[in-house]
Amino acid sequence: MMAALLGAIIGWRGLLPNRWTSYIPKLSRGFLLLMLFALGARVGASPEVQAHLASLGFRALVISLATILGSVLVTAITAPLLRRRSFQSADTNADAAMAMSNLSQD
Amino acid sequence: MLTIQILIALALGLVCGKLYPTAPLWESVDTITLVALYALLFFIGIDLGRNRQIWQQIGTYGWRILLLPCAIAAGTLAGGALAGWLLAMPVREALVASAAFGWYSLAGVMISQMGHVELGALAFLVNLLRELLAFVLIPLVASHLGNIPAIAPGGATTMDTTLPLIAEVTDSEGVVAALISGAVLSALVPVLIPLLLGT
Repeated sequence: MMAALLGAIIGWRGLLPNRWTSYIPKLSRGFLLLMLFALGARVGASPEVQAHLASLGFRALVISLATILGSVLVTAITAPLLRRRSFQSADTNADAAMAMSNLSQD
Repeated sequence: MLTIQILIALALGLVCGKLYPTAPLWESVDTITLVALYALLFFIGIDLGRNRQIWQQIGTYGWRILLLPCAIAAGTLAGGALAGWLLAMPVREALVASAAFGWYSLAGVMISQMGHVELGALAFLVNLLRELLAFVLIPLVASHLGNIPAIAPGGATTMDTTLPLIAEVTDSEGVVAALISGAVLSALVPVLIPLLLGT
């Protein structure tokens, strides 16, 4: 959180030259993949986690998938409701209307 | 493309960890993860700071933004209960394991310390798998169902580990919604788990 806050302050004040910020997407992608590599390695190098996976893995996978599917389903159903209400209040606010239409496009 | 890169990075990590389980590098794996995560959050911060309009737009969501974590929590618990029923295990236990919303480090330790060691291990796995699956599913959900449903798989992790991915596959509003949703769900975990355990 502090890291994000520090970044927000720097971005807000425009402290970084554009030449630097143009590297951010590439750097982000690199760090994201590094983080995932480390996550994979943590599982791969831990006999304890693998023992658990062998005994509880199937149940865990079913529960995990069900929680993801459930949350995606309920969110997909309620998202239009959230959006429609936003449209009503956005009538008076062109900026907000634009923001909401950006959201609903995808 | 991103999904493939994610799968390759995860698989490479798994294979390397498996082949060289005692490599000294793994002792610092926590540090590597933390540094990478901080760097990513720092970059997201820069991006959010540069897009000043977001902060005005988020005000137009108002309290409605809280519907998102509520929907994610409700869907998660409903899915968890259904899975418990399908697996013929106590539904309460399936609910407890689901209620960490992907925050595996807390779930395992917390439930084990409350005297439910095996359930703690199950909860750890359920939520570790949820985070892993989220990395694979977020880009897919984003392209098929939209930015808001794409936040759901991440659960509580959308305020930190899966936030960089959400930033890549959605837009600035998606990032802000994910931050708020992840924070609310994270705050819910230490309340919900003892409540569901009935202790």
